Amino acid sequence: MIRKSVLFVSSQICFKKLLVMSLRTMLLLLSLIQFFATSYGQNNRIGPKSYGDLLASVSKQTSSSYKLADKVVAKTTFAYQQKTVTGRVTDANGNPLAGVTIIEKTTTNGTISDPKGNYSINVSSVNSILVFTYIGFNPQEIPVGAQYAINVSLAESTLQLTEVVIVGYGSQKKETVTGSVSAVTNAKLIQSPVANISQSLAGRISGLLSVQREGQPGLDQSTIRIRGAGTYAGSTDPLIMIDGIEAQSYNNIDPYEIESISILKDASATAVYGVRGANGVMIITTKRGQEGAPQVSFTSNFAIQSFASLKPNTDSYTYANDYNEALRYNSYITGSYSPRWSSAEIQKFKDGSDPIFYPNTDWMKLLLKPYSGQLQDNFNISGGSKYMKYFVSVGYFSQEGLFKNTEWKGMDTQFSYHRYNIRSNFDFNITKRLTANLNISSQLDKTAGGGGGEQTLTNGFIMNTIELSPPYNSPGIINGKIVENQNVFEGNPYKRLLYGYVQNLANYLNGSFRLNYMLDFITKGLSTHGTISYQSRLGNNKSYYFVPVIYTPLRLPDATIEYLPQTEEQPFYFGESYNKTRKIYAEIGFDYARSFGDHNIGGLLLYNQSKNFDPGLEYDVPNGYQGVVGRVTYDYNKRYLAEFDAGYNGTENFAPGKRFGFFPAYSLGWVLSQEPFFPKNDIVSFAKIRASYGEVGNDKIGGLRFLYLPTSYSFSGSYNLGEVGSTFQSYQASDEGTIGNPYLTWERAKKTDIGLDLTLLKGKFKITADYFLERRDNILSTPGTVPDIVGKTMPALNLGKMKNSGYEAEVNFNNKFGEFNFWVNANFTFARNVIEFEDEVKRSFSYQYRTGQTSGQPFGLITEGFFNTWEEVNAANRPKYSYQNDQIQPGDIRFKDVNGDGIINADDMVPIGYSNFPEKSFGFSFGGNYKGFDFSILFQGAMNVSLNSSPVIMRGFENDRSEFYYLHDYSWTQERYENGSSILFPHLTVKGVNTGNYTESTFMVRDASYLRFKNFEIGYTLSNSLLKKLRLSTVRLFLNGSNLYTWSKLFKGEDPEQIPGGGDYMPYPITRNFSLGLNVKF
Amino acid sequence: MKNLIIIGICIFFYALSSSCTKVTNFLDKPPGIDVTEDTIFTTQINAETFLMNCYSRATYCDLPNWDENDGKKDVALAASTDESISTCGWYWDATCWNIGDITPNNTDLTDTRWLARWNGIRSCNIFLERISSVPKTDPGYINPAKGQAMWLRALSYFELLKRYGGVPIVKKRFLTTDNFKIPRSTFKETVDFIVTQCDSAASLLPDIWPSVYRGKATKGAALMLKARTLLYAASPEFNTSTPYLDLGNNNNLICYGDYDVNRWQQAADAAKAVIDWAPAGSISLVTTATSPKPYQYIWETHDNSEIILSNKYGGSQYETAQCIYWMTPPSIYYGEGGCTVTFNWQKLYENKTTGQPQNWNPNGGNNLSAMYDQLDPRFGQTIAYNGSYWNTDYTNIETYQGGQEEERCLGGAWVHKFFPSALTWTNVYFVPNWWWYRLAEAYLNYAEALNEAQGPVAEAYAAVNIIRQRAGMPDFPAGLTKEQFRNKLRNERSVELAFEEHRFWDVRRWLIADNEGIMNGKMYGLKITENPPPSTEFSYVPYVIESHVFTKKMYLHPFPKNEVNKGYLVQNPGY
Repeated sequence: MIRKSVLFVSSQICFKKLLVMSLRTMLLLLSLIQFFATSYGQNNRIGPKSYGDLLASVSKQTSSSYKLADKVVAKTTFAYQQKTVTGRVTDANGNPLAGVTIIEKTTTNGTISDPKGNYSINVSSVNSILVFTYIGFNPQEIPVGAQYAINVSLAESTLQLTEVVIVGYGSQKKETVTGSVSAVTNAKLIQSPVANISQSLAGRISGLLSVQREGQPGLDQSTIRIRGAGTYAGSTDPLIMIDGIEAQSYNNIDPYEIESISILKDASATAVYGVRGANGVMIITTKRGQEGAPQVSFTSNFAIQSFASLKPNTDSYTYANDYNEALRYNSYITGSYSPRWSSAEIQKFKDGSDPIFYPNTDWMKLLLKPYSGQLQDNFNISGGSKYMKYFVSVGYFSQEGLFKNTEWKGMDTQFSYHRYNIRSNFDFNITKRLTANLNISSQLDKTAGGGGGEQTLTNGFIMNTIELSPPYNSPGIINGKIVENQNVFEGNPYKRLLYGYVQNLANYLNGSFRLNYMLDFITKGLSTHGTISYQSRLGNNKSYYFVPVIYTPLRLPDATIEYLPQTEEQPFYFGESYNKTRKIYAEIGFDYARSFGDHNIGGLLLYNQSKNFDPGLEYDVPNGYQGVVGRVTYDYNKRYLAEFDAGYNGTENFAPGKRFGFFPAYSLGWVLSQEPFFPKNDIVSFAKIRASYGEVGNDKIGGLRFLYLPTSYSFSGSYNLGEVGSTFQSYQASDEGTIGNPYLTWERAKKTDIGLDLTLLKGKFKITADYFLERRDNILSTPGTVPDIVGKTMPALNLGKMKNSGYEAEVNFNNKFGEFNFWVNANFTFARNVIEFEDEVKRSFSYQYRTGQTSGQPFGLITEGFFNTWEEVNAANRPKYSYQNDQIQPGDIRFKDVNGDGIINADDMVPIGYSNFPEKSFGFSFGGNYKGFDFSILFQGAMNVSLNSSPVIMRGFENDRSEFYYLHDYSWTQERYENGSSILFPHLTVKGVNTGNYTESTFMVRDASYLRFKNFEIGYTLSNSLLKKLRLSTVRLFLNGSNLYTWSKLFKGEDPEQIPGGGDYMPYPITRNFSLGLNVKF
Repeated sequence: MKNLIIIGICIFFYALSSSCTKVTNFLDKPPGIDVTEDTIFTTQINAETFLMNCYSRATYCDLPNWDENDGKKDVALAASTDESISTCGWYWDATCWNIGDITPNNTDLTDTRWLARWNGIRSCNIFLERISSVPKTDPGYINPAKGQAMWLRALSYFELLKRYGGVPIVKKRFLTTDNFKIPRSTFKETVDFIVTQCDSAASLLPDIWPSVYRGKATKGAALMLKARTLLYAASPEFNTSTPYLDLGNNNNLICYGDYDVNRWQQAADAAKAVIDWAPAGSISLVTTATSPKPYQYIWETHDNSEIILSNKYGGSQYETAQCIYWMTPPSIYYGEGGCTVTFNWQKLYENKTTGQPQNWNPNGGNNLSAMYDQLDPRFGQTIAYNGSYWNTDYTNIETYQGGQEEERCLGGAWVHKFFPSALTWTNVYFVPNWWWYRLAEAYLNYAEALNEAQGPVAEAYAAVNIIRQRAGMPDFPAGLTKEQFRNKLRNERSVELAFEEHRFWDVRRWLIADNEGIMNGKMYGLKITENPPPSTEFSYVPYVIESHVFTKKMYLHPFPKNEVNKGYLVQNPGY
C-alpha cells in the first residue's frame, strides 16, 4: 500500500497540478480580459461597468427590460416622439426566445430579448417598423403603429435562406453555395453518450464514412474518411480544422463546446486547402457568445457501460475433447494419432475433481466486469454586450475500463480515461471598424491502463490474452500466486493484466487571436484580418511494471500442493518520458463582399504559414507549410452562381522548385427557383443545381519525410566481435537509408461534383444529392516490378492512379401534428475506389491483377461447401490440392478450380468480398417533441464491407489458445453431416498441418455488413412555472443509450467494425452505454 | 486610447509580418547532421561501421532468434530433418517442410532470408566499390577489409546456391537507371564465381585476427567456404547430367549437366588446403588432452581452438531471450519449445565398442539405459536422454512416462547440444556459441571427396579416423569398398555434425532426402516406461510419431512466386 500511495498519489498530484496550473492560466487570462473590457466600457461610458455588473444585471432585470438594453437605447434615441413598445418573443410552440435582435428599421436603435423572451424598446415614431431577427428563424417585420405591446411568434426558418454554411476560411449563405458541404449541429452530437465526437458522427452526415476499431477508454475514436479513400498509398485522413486552425487531434474536444461540424467534400470547397485538401476537410466550429444576458448551462450525465458483445469460449471439458478430435483429424496428415488428454483427464475436467491441475477457468467471467461507469459534466456561460461577447465552458469526462481484479501489489491496472476541457471564446467590437476574436482552450487528458515496458496501451494484449487463454491451463491466482500448469502461449491472463501500469498525460493549450479591420474607407465591402495561433501539447508518459512470477503447482507425495516459482522475482521497473510539441500558425487576409444591384461579388485573398515542432517528427525537423489562398464568388440575383477557388501552397516535403503547387477549382450553380419562369408553388420552393471541378493535393504520402534528399545513411545496428568472456563487445554499424527521389511531388486529385438541392412542401422536405468522381494520380508507390535482387527498396515514384466515385444523398423531413413536432433524417453514401494503375508484376491470370480492383480488395479461393464423404474425396475428377500435399479428408473445404487446370492453388484466387472499410454507409434517424417530451433514435449501418478473419478466429486452438464456442457448435463432423445440422466450419484441427482450409477464401473473408441501433434519447423539459421559484430557466432530464443492438451476419460476439489481429491483438470490444443526464439552464 | 489601438494593430501586423520574413526559405530543411555515403567513406572509422553492417546483413544465426533483418525465425533447421521434431505445433516453418507443403507462395516460411541476402550482397558491393578510395587509412587496412566483404558476398551466394542452384550474379550495386532484370546464371557460373571470390579473399585475409576482432573472416574462412562449395558442387545433386527433376533447356541452372569425377578431386584438394592451413591460423582439433569430453567442450566453450570462424551474429542474450525460451524443453528454464530427438536419429549413433550400428530391437526392449550406455560417447554429449545430466539445475532428465521432462517429449529424448551447462538459473547471461566452420568438417569433407575421387585410400581413412579417435570411437574397419566407406562416412558426418545445420543440406546433395526415414516417411519415437522396482532399468517401445513427406521438387527451394512473376527468374522444377 505504501508503494501505491507513493506512485499513484504522486501521479494524481502531478495531474492535479497540471490542471490547477491550466485553470490559473485561464483565470489570469479571464481577469485580464475583464480588465480590458471594463476599462474600455468606462471610456465609452456605456455598457456594464464590469463583469460583475453584467452578471448582477441578470438578477436585477425587470420584466420590461434590463439595464444593458436601457443603456444601449439611451445613447441612440432622440428626445421627441418617443414611444416604448414592450412584448414577448416566442417560437411557434410558445417557448420564449432569448437573444432575439429587435431593431427599429433604418435606424441603429435596437435591443435584444431577455431569457424570458421579453423586450422593451423605445421607438422614434408610429411609423417605425420593428425587425425581429434570430438565427434559425425567419425574420419578421412588424409596423408599430398604435401598438404598445407587440408579442411576436417567430417561425423556424424552414427554407433556411439565412442559413450560413461554414466553408474554408469563411462562411457563405447556404442558398448560394456551389461547393459540396454538409453539416451537423451540436444538438445531434451530444445525443450519444460517447467520449468523442468521431463516434457520434457515424450515420449523421452524408459523405462521411467511419469505422470504430477500438473500444478502449481514451483510444476509442473512430477512423473517419470523407467520401472513402482516394489513394491506396498516401494518407486518407481528412484535414481537421478547428475554428480556422489545423488541429492534430479533435477527439479530445468536449462535444458541448461544439457549435457545428462541416464536412467539405468537393474540390470547390477544399481547393483553398490546396496540398492538404484532397481527402476532404472537417471544420469544427466552437460555440461563441450571443449578445444578451449571461446564459448558464450545466449538464451532467452518468452512463453505465458494458461490452456490446463478447465471444464466449468453450470450457475445459469441451476443449479437451475437441482438441483430441482435432488431433485425430490431423493424424490423417501427420500419420499417427496420440490424444493429448486421456479420458481420465477429460473426466477430471468434467467433474472438477482436481481444480488446480485440471481447472476449468472462465477467464472472461473472472477478469471482465459486467458494468462500469462513465461520467460527463459540462458547465458553460455565454452572453455578451454589443462590445464584447463570450463563451466559457468547463467540461469533465471520465470513463472506467471493464476489467476486474486489477489491483495487485499496490497497483491498479484498470483502464481509464479522464479529461478536463476548458474553453473561452471572446469576440470584441473595439471600434466601428475593428473587431477581435480570442479563443483559448485547453484539454487535459489522462489515459491509463495495464501495460508497461514494451507493452503499450494500444497493443490490445490484455484483451487478447483474456479472450484467447485456454480454460484448462491455470486456475488463476491461488494464495496470491499467479499459477500456470504448463507454459502455453497465452498462459494465465493475470500475468498480462497485472504486469504493470501505463499512464499517458497530455495537456493541450491552444490559443488564437484574430483582428478584423474593415477597409470600407478604401472601398465598400473590403476588410482585412490577421490571425496568430499557438498550439502546444505537453505529454508525460509513465510506465511502471514488473514481470510477475509464475508458479507451477507440484503435488507432493502427501497430496499437498506446492507452488514452485518458475522465474525469479524481478525488480520493479519505472520509466517516465516527456514530450512537447508546438505549432505556430499565422494568417493574413483580405475579404471582399459587395452587391451592385443584382450582382453580388465576394472575394478572399489570404497568406498563411505554419510550423510544427514535434520531437516525434522524422529527423526532429519541424514541419512547415506555406501558401496563398484565393476565392472569387459571383452571383446574379442569387440565380446564377459562380465561384473560383484556388490554393497555391507548398510543403517542405519536396525538393526546392517542386514545392509549390497551384490548385484551382471552378464551380457553377443555378437556382432554378429564382428564375422568373419558375412558377411560385408550394411543392418545390427551392431548387438548385451545382457543379464543380478542381484539383486538390495530398502531401501526406508514404509517411516519410524528405524523400527528395539524396540517399541518407544512418549509424544504426551493430555487430559483435571478440572472444566471449574477455574481448566480446558490440561494434557500431552504419546502414544505407532510403534512396532519394528528387522528382517527388504530391498526389493530385481531380474532383468533379454534381449536386442538387431541393426544398419541397413548404420547407418540410429538404433533399441534397451529389454525384462525385475523383481521379487521383501521382500516388507515391514503390514500383512492384523491381526485382528483389536489387537488394534495396528503390525510391517510391509518383506513379499510382486511382479513381474514386460514388454518390450520396440526404433527406430531411419535418412536420408537426398539433403540438407534436417531428423530424426525420436519412442519409446514404456510396464511395467505391478503383486502382487504375500501380506498377504490378505480371500475373498468370487476368483475374489476379490488383489493378482494376478496390484498394484493400481481398483475394482468395472460392469455397464450394465441404467434402462430406470419402467418395467425394476420392473422386477421380477431384482437383489436386497444392495445400497439405493434397491430403484431403471429409470435413475439408472444397474449393473451386477457377482456372480449370486441375490444381487448387494460389492461381485460383480471385477477388472476393470487399475491403475492410465499407463502401456504403447509411444513417436513419428520427425524433420529435411533444409538450415537454422529446426523443430521438438513430440507426446506422454499412454495406459492401468484409471481415478478413485470421486462423485464430476461424480455427481455434492456435498456439494452444482457446476455442470459441462457434467452432464447437458448427464444425464439420461425420455425425453432424449425417444429421443434416448446420455446418459452418471445416473439421477441427490443431497445428498448421491443415493449410488449405485456412488459406484466404470466401470462408475466411466474410460479409461484415451491419445495421446498428446506434443511439436513442428520451428527454423531458420541465415547464417554466415549476422552475420560476428556483430561478431556473429550463431543466431537462434525459436518458440516452448507444450501441444498443447490431444486426449482422457475423457470429455472436463479433463486431463488424472491429478486426481481431492474427493472434497478437484483440481489440477492446465496443461498449454499450446507457446514460442518465440532467441539463439545467439559468 | 485610439492611438493605443492603432499602435496595437501595428505591433500585431508587424509581428505577423516578421514571422513571414523568411518567406522565401521558410520551407527549407534546416541544416542537420545528414549522413551521406560520402560521410561513411571518408574515414576509416566510418567505413568500418559499414563493414559491420555487411556482417550484420550477410550473416545470420540459425538458433531461434528474432532476426533484426527479416523478422522471426522460430526453430532450428534440425526440426525440418530427421534429427528432431519441434514440439511446438505452431513452429510452422519446420512443419511446412515436414508435411511437404512447399510452394512458391510460402517462401517466407521456407527461406526467411531471401530478401536479406540480396540486401547483404548490395552492402558488400557498395563497400567494395568505395573502400579503396577512403583516404588516410592505416597501412594494411584496405586489403583485409576487401577480403572480408568478398567473403561475406561469397557466403551469401553459397547460401543462395544450396537453396536455388544458379542465381543471378550481381557484382555491383544497382543504380536507379540500371536494368534490374538480370537472369539466373548457370549452376557452374555461380560455383565458379563463389570459388574465385574465395580465392581472392583468401589472398587478402589474415590468418589470425587479434582477440578483439575474433569473428572476422580469416584466410581459413575463405578456404573453408571454397571447400564446402566445391564439396556441394561435386555431390550427386549437382554433379550430374540428369538433375533430380528435368528443367528442359534450363537444366544447367540446377546442375552441371554432366558428371565429372575431377570435381570430387577439386573438393578434396580444397578441403586439404584447409587442413594444411590450420596450424597457421592456430586451429587444431580439440582432444581429450583438453577435456575428458572433447566433443561437448567444442559446443560449450566459446572460441575454442577447433573453431575456424565463429558466428557472432546472435550477440548476447538472457534466459528470457527467444533463443533459450523457444528451444529448451517445456520443463527446462520455463521453455516453450524444445526439439525432441527422433528414434531414427538416435539409431545413427554406433556402438562404441564394435564401431557398428547398435542392435536396437525394432519391437522394443526393457534395457534402455544399458543400450544408451553402449553408444558412441558423442550421444551423451549431444542428447539429453532419459537419465542423463543437463546441468546443476537439472541433474537427472526424466523422459519416461510421468517423468519431469516427458511433457511433449515425443521422441524420448531432447536436444542438449548448444545449451552450455554454465547456463543456469543463477547465470542467465548467454552468448550463443555458434560457428561457421570448425576443423572437423574439413577432415570429413576431405575424406568424403577423396573416397569419391579415388576410392577409400589411406588418406581418406586417416582423415575420418582422426575424428573417430577424438570422439572415442574405433577406427573405420579396413577394407571397405567405396560404397561401404561412403555410407559409413555419411553416418559419421551426421553424428559428428549433428544439429549444426548440415543434415538438411547433406541429405539433399546426396539425393537421399526422399528415402524412407530420412525426410520422407515414418518418424519414430520411443515410449519409455519405468520398469517395476527393484529394477532401475527402463523399457522402450518405438512408435510412429508422425509421417513426413518429401517430394522430388523439394531438393531445391522455390523462388517466391512474386519474383518469378517479375519475369527474370526461371522457376525451379516442380513448382
